Amino acid sequence: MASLIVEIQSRHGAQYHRIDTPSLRLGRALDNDIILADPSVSPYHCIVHRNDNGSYTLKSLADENGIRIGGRRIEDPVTVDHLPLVFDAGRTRIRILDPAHIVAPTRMISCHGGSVCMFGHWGWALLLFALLTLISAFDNYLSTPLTLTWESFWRDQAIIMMVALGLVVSLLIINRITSHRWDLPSSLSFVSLLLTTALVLDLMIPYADYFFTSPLPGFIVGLAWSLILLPWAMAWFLVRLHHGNTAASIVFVVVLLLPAAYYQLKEIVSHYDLLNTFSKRSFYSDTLSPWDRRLQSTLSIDEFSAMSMPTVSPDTADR
Amino acid sequence: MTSSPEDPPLFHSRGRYPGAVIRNRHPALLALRLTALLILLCAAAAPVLALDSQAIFERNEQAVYQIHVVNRDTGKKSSIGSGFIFDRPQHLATNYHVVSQFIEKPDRYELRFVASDGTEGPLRLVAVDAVHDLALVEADAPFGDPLQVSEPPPKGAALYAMGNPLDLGLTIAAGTNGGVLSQTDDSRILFSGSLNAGMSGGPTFDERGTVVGINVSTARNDISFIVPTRYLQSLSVANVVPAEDFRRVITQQIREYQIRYLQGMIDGAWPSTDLRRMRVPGAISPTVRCWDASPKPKDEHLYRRFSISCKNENDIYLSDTLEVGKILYEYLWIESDHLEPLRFYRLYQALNNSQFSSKADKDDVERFRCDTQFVDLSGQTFKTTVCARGYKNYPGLSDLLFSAAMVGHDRQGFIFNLDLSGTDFSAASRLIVRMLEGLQWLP
Repeated sequence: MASLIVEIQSRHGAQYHRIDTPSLRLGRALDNDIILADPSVSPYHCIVHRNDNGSYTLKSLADENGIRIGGRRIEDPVTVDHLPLVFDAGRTRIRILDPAHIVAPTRMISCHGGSVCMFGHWGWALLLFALLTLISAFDNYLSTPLTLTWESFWRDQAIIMMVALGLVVSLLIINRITSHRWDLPSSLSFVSLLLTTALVLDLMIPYADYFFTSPLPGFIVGLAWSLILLPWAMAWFLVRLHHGNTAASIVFVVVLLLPAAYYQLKEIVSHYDLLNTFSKRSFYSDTLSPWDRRLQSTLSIDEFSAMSMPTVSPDTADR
Repeated sequence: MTSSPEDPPLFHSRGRYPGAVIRNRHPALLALRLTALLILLCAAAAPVLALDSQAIFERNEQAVYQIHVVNRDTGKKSSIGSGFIFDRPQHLATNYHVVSQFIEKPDRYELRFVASDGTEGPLRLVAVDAVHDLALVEADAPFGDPLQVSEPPPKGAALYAMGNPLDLGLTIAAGTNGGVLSQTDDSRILFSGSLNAGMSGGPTFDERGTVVGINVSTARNDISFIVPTRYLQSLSVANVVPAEDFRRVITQQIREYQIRYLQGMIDGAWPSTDLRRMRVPGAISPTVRCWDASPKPKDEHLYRRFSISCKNENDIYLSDTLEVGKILYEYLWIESDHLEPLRFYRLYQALNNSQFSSKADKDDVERFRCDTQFVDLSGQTFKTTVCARGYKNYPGLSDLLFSAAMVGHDRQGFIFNLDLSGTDFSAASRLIVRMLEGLQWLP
């Protein structure tokens, strides 16, 4: 008597039963061959029978939610020649497999001494968090032209710390949903690295703006950050560190970052007059640097009036 | 000055110049005193001809009309103003801003008059002077005899403004002449009466009952403005054009005025004022007023910040969203003894964020185009930005934003911002250059 495998899929992963009898009954009642915990399943839901000619017959016993194959409800018994036989009993998906069914290749755990591993270590997590604290404190110090008191300093510092904490908790929740683990070090490392990068970029960009005398570097980096870098980093985090499904991770990240991406795209459209949108703001390089390092040379007032003014004249603009 | 109880009762009455009483008790000057008294008595007798507000109202009630801008689709009025018979029997004088909605969208709106007895009819626009906010409209049939006009009476004399405030009915408001305002380029008389929406375009009378001005605007309670009649007399009726072409005429008027106005500044001598280590141009025109705009210093500030803000008072109404001819400039100085350069520049850069303030939207103006350069001014390097945008419906007018921030000092910063609205680009460019030449570093 050839055996068959019953796969019961659920959010927590599949359960497998090896069955050696020619007939098996599934349902919520405790005297079934396989007992299903799903409340949408009837006490006696269906019977799978192995016929003598090697085919299989599926017969519904349930009036309530019944059996669906490919989304279509079936009333009469269905006979198939080949396995797998896939059907839904209520909300539970069940696959009847042949024991010879080939399983998917083993997924390698990529964190075996590679650079990704450091995210999972407490040492790295604390180091990155310390770096974030240091850089945000420096940024806080630079942007406060007042006599610093511990109270006022920590009030501002607390904001970024709370943001970091909020993100860590969000990642922990994602982590819990995807892998049933609370992976604190990797979440902390990732958030620290992300925020530190953002702060460092924010510190550096004005110098690039000043050097090129153009608001474009900041604009492009900002755009690349929110449209490419951030989504990529988040998807990478979910796939590599949380072993999430690649497609699901990408969809998740896209949905999560869509509002920000929409806002960014609106900015480009407005800055570059795509779609003829209008901006009341004038878009120019307004950065000032204590190190006067730049590509542009200094003009005399005559050169300025002869060169700079005519380039913006609306009277000569193509209308 | 208030009159004391010992003043002769004569001067308590309708004497026009109580301040002119000569009080000299020296007996030798008695004859002179008597003569003076006689002259004053004559002067006091003259106002016997003066009318009170009731008489002025009754005499001119038939000559003041309501002007409606009517939406052709709904047949209902969209805005209201007043007007009076001027120059020819079928002409009404009013403000440009009363009819501007019609000029902006002649296919959507039409002009109509409503008399005090309720009769109404269509109007044609025949002349505008956008700079002084005046317009002439014409009806098919004559209204009546044109009102007499004359120059305004002396400062302090009584004035009476007629019009239809808030569509509440024709009224008259009394006040005094506050004088011709140099800060408005002599285009406005200050009036101490109450002008309200709907009275625009109505006549202002002196005590003889002749028209001396046209009601135009109000700043707040009892601070109102009147256009002197001399600008009305120079309105040329000859250039009758279709309504669509009025925009071209207006552009030309404003542009010519701006070129003359800005060139007057460029050619003039400017007072200078010192802002710490920078000598800067002060009020560059009689129309410009400068104010201190420094923020209140606080103990915890590790820096000191000072600023001077100047602006002209004679901007021109072009449409609901466009106020043109505005000149606004500010100087900002910031210094610190304690902040490290990195920290100082964080603050300094945050202050360098000039943006053009205006109600203009995408139907009115193009987008700003900007150019940023480093320029040597009085031995110091400045990061300068000039941005400009053209007007869509008034090609030839543009808004300009200029900003210059001094660089190269660790703990000292100076920013000069200048905004010009609805101006001629090349005249404005010359003004910017002249102002930059006026900056002088004080070692």
